Amino acid sequence: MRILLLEDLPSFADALQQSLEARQELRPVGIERIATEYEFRRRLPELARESFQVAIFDVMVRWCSLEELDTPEAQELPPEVVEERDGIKKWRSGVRCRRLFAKALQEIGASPVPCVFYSVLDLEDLGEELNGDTPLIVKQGELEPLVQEIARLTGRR
Amino acid sequence: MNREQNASSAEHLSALVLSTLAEEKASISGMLQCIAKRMNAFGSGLWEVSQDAKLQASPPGGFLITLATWWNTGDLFAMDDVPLANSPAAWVAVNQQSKIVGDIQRDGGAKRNHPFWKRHDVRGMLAVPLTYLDGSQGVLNVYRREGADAFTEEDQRELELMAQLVPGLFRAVREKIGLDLVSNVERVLRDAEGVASEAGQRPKRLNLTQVKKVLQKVCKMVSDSFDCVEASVFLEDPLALPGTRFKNLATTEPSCAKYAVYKIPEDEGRLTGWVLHHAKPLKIVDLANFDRDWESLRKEYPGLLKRAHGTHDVEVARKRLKSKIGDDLPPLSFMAVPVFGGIDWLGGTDLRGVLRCYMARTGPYYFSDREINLLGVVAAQVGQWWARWRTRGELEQENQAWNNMVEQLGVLNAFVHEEFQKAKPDEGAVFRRALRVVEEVIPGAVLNDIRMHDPAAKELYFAQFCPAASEELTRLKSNDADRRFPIVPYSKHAGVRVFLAGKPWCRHDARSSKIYHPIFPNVERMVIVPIGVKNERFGLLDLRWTTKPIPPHAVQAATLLGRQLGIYHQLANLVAGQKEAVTKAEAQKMEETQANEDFAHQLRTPITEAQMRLELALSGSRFESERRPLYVLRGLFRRTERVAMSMRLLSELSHGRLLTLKPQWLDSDVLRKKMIELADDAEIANLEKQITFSVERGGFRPHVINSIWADSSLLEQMISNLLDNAGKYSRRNTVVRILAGISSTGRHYLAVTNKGLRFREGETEKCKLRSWRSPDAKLIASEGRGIGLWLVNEIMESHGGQLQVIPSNHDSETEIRLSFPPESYIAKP
Repeated sequence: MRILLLEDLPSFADALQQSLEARQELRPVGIERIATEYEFRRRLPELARESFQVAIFDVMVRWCSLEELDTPEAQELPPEVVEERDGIKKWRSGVRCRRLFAKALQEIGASPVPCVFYSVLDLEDLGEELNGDTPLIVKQGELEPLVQEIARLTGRR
Repeated sequence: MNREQNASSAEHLSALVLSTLAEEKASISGMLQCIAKRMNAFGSGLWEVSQDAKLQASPPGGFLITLATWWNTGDLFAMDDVPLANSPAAWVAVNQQSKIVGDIQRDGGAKRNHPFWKRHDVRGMLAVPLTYLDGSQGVLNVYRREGADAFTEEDQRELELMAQLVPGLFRAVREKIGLDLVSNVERVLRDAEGVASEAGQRPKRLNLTQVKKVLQKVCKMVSDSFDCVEASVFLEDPLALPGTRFKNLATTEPSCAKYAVYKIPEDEGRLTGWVLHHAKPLKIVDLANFDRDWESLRKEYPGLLKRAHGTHDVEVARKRLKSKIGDDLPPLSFMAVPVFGGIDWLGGTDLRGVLRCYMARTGPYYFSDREINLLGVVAAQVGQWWARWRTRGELEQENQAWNNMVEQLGVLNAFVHEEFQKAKPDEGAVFRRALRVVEEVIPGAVLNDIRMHDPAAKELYFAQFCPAASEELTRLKSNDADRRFPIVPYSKHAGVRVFLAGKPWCRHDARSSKIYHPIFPNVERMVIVPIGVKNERFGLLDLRWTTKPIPPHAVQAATLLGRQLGIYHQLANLVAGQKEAVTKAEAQKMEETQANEDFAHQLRTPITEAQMRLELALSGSRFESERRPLYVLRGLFRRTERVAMSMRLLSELSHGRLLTLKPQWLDSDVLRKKMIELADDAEIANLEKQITFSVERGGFRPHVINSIWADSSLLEQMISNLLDNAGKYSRRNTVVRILAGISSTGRHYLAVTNKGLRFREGETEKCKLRSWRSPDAKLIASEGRGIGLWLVNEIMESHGGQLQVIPSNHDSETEIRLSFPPESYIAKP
């Protein structure tokens, strides 16, 4: 199972890999982790063409890494990122990337990929900003709720 | 006539011209005197045929009108209105031929038995015709007394010769009188304006007494020029409504003071009142014939009242002119012209008063159109002068009022500012103060109040009365203070209409109002302005006058105050809302910080226990493969512990408390071990970026740093925060170093260096502020609230030390240094 993961914590990807592989019906698991919004945007055409069974979006992912910031492209901030950087709006990179991903799939005529938001923020924080069809799993100590949601979305339970 | 006689006549004619015109005070009487002397006569008279005369009729219709007389006794005897049908002089006028009358008392026509002739024994008369320059016919008479030679044909020729000059001289004298009058009045008025002038300064404005003196001079000049008994000027009463009341300011006849005031429209029927009411000139040829001429006067001056001018006026005139009973009086001519100040703002005439003349002492007795026009010119001079004086006064008064207004608004603003500082601002106090300002800046407004809008009830209610209005309501035992005014369209209450329309309202006759009179019976005038901001209205400012007029600036000043009160009201609501919000926020903050503190305390117990168990597990583990996940766990626990510590510190600082320190001497060995432990944890937390956290052991030796006096736990917190930042903002595969050393100023320091995000100029101080994060930091780390360095700074300050951020060098290496105060490196005892 191919999973697209927007998440800047590498340890989380490892933990998720282990948790998913612990369930036979979900194996084999291949996680493509994207650490920053900039990387996600940069690689979006390529990501849209890959056949992911599910995409997981952390909501508050940083714009770029320190190394990426050295590139001129990473310094060309979209207006919404400028607003977030300047404290005018809340940081919602995951919500943006989810929207961009859906649009990119549509543009190339690819089938929609089931998505899930995975965040320390809860529904009260994010209610108005989420797409109606995208479930939210709140980050807690255990990964089981996320694993179950992935199983549900991929029809493997 | 022989040559000698011709020469003599020529000389005399020359003398006649010179004496008539060259006199300082040219006069027709002077001319007649000159003629009479030449003719060796007792007196002389100059006549004009009345304009309605019918000379060709049989008998001829009309009158001869006396223009002027001169008698060597000084008596006044005018021989008014001699019918053209039956007098020798009239015969001369009708036939245009000269005539010598041997005995006037026998052949004097209608006047032959006049007591004046008898008293002075007048006998001979010589009359010659003449034609005035305007084409009207006239007669020049000279008279001799009993005993004098009878008039001869020689005399007749002599008089005829002089009569040729009379029309020209007559006009010249009158022109000269007119010109003299206008130029003299101009001079007096001009001099008066500059009378108080000081070098380089604008002349001081005259006071009313000085104005009256100037006007008195003008009246005297008018009286002298027309040789009339009375010249008076009545001008507007500044305290009354425009055009309603006029007071006598100057007169040459003090007895006119009994008619010192004219009220318009009440006095329209009176002569002067008619002029004031209609703003048109009025001329009565002879008040003695008022009744006789009533029909034509009534048509010419509709609204004039018929009254017995004749008998009364004749008696008064005799007394004034010291005329003897039986003597003819000159015509009691009256004329009055309106005094205009110019053109008013509506393009109409700006009536300021009236200038009138009455009863000429000498000829020409009639105030003709020429005289009334001349009086009109003088009236215009006076009017413009008066208007300038008034305007300047009003401007000065208004300037003073606005200056006062600005000053008072400043005082009011200061008062309001102070009031708003209070926990519970009292808007009533602001209103009371504002009503005091009203009394200060709007003269005469004495019974004032503020009404406010009750949005729930949709009513206006009295929010504040000025003290005088409160006293008045108490005196009247009135319940009106409790009245409320429903806000409905088409209300009979002006206040409601003002509130709805947002425009000021003014009433000058409140006494006659059925609505307002019963509330404040003494109130004459009212102004109501809205209290509000832009299109939003909160209430009304009511101003009331009892005696004085509404000053010109009152409405504007009140409007300004209304807006100011509107702003205050809006501000009061905002301030109240803000205070409530602040109180709530403070309570909430207190609750939150308390909760943070509680959570931090609650966290510590399980973390400490978990750490103890971890340490036990670590000590019991033999293999590195077993120990490694435990190290990771330990690092995470320590991080959690530091977050809990940060929460506790944050809550203490948010309470405004000083951090509680438990300092101790930490020697170099202890410090080094502590730093290695922290570096290990940081390295494990940043494994993905492969950042090495290294402790530079060289500085942690007794000969470099012996010991530091610090709170161990807080020191650990600071270094941990710095390492946390270093992990976030360092590049991959770089080294973060922990140093210790002595600065060039001899201070002990601990420092963390890293290579990564640069600190730019100006950011080295900003980074110590709470919640500050550099723009780039926000892009590369979404978490973090800009608390870390602020806490480090607070902890260092509580140690008496200093957080120093040394700007990144060309190698992008940043050093953050914790510099301890001198006391802290005193040699360990």
